[in-house]
Amino acid sequence: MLLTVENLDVTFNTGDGPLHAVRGISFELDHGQTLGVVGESGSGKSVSTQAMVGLAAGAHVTGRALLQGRDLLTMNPAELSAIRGPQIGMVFQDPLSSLHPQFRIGWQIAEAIQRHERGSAKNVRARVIKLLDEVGIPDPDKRIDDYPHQFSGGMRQRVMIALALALRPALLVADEPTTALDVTVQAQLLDLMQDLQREHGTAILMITHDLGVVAGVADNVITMYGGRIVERGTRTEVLGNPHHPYSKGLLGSVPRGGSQRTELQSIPGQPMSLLIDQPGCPFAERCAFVQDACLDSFPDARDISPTQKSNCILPADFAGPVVLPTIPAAETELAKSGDILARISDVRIEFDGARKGLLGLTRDKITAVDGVSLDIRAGETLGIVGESGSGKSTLARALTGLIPLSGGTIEFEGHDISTFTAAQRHSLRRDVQMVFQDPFGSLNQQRRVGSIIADPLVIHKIADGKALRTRVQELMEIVGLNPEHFNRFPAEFSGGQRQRIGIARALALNPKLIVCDEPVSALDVSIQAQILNLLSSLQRELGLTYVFIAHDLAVVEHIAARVAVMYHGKIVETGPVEQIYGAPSHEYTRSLLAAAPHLDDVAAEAAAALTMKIDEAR
Amino acid sequence: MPEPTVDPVVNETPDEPNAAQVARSGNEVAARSPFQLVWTRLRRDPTAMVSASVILLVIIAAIAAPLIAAWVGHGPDEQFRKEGLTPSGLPTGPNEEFLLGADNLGRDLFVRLIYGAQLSLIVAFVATVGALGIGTLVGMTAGFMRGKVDTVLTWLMDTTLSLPQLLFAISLVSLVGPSFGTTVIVIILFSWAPIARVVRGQTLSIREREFVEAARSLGASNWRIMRVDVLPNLVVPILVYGTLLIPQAIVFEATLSFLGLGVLPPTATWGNMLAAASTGSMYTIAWWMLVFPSAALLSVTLAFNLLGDSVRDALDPRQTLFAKKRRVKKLKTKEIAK
Repeated sequence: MLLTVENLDVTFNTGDGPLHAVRGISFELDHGQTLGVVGESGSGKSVSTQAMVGLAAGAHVTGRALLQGRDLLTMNPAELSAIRGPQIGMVFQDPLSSLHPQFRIGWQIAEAIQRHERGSAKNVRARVIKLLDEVGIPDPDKRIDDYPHQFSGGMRQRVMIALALALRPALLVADEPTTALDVTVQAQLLDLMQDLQREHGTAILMITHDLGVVAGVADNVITMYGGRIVERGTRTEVLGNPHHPYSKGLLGSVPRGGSQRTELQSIPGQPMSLLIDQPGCPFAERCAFVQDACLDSFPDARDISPTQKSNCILPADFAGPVVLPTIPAAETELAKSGDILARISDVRIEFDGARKGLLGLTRDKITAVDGVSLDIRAGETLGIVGESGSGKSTLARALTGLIPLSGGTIEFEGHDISTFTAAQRHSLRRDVQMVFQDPFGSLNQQRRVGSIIADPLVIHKIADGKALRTRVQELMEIVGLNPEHFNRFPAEFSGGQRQRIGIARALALNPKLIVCDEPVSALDVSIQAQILNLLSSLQRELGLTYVFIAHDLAVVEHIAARVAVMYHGKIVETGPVEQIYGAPSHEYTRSLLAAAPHLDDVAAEAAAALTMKIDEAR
Repeated sequence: MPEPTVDPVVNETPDEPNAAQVARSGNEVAARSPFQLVWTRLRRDPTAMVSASVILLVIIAAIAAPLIAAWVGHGPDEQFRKEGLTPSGLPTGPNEEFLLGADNLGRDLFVRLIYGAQLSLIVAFVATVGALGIGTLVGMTAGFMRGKVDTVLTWLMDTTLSLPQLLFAISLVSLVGPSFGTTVIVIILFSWAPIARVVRGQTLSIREREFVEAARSLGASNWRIMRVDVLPNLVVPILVYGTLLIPQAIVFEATLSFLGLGVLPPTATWGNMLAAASTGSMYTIAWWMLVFPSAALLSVTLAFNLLGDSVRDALDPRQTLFAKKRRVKKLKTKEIAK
């Protein structure tokens, strides 16, 4: 066995008392295998690996972590540093901040090699070039002398992989390696990591929140929650035939191919606080099947199959694939009318770029949106998908009047908004609202939640005094917040709750159109499902029209009725969801869909395996 | 008991929550407001507590100055030529009657010191509030409006900052004549610009944040965004800068008084007292005339500076978190080594 972790336990001392981040986890990883560690934020998945390699500053770590028989946890910093590199390679989430901006990338990789091995400068340089070639960087002999900023995000992550694999470590720890990247780049990188694994027999410890990524690359999967491993098994077992209610909840929360008429099975409640030391199952609080015994002690592992183990008291036959219930396609009255609420015609948006010329008097123009035409029909959800830099967020801001147009027109209910007077534009704000991506950044931390939600009502002088408070509490209730909490600050709410606050603010003026700019991309999957379900039910109840912008194809497929695919500021394809996802006509759409991780394939694989087992039993 | 956040729209729990679930829901970490958090952190910081105590003590003494004078029986400007001076006319040192000794005119140094504290603090507070007000207004306007307004205001800040302070102050005072009001105005004149620069920088980054964009999309006016969204986020730098500005103002006032350009004698200020100590090298025979006002000046400015640092740490713990973590780790490795 390459890596054996026994009873790893990590505690941080914080200003609020000890934070028990990892609570006695054990797992193994063999040569050439990929172990996927899945869990939401706060599950302890990253901390456990950081603690293992001595990178969790200020943590109190106990247990054992044997790498080829040597315990990492008893090593001193010098010994650990000698092991990081030749034996453990690491790739982190953010390729922007993991490379030093002031040094050439070749120099950075060479430094890592020379830290552990002696070699002539010429030899090392040759090795670096070979490494860069291996990770698929074109013209490695030229690019070796480039600086990090001269590479794209995906290329930088390739450089990071080259750096991590420079000394051919037996173990590669990849902590959310593709989370910050676009799907097409993600697919390339995952392929690359698998190729390198096949070639060199590297073991990969893949930490991610994305079940799709795990479905694509992992041999074995561990599900973590609240600092504990709740379920483990092979990929097909955990993803296709999960036993633990949390694994099931996670799988039920993820939108997947063909999920648009399904209701996501979100996990109720919020992630637990690690400051409370509870002896029982950490998931008990959110579990629909909780029993008294769950609160007293953490259940022992139950064998579901020889390789699948679940720490849950439910009987083994509870295991089974997650099937999402379908809901009838209930079109709202408004949607049936087919009226056009807004019409975007040939819109161009340009930004000033770098100054040029001797005096810097002229500037380059950067075209973010280049001749986009779209109809938004009343009562529908129009999805706009695209990768970063495609101009989808710029288009959203233009639609809400935050960015002026450089060309073309936007008509709202038949009126060209560019000809509006200031007063008309002010009242347009009532009809068009926006939900932002960042649940942390889009709320002013210094103001109480009640006053944030009341903002639109105060600005448009709609209510004050007691009526204002009543309306705010009503809005909080609509979005599923406790109306008693209007006096709290945003910092006291979790990410999902904050997004609900943002939605309540957008609903305050009874708008006709809500533009959602990546409203769920910053949220954990179980919370993401809650928000998606909330948006859907609000649409049904309040007759809203959504423009839903996202990079996640599955999320858009789930929520939208029509989809527009954006690429380099242009819309390459528009059509009903079934058509775009079922029979894409544009090359770019096809490559996007091919790159998106498919959870469904694993589920199908598992179902097939299950029927085979049943057949054998007969 | 905190309410379980039950969610009417999305809650998918199949049945009524059972007893076990209800039992768990009471187990919430008590949420605390940002202010409470800052206060807790400050209370745990010994430096902050000691500095705050020193400052509080000085403030109480300054407020109670007339009471103390009555209790000692010496007015601040009263001269006790018989008791306070030796037959040869030299000031007496600290004794039972004059706790900190007397000065060259036979005045009680202790009482003068406390009256000096009163004046120093009033000048410092008034000047600081004035400078913060002007600095914040100018900085926020420049940062938020950008464009030409910013260019003009930044130019104004840079000009103010490039003036030779003391020289300018001396010529200004000799034009208008020294007084309490002049002192305050001179201090404000030279203190608002650094604040305006800090505030402008902060505002530049705050105006790009998503919540400002959200406010814009709601139709909020510029004035409203500045007041409601930008200003509350400037409280931290303003508060920190304010605590650090007070000691600067105290020293500035002392400097002006020392040079005879501030509050005029016989009114007791720390600067005047130091000036008295240095006239005719009095301090060579009466060390207490130099040591006590200097010590007062030093301890008060030091206390304000340390408190300012602590307040900044408490308001933004992330900045110092890593340093602290490293310290913790060092301690731990030491323990292990033992």
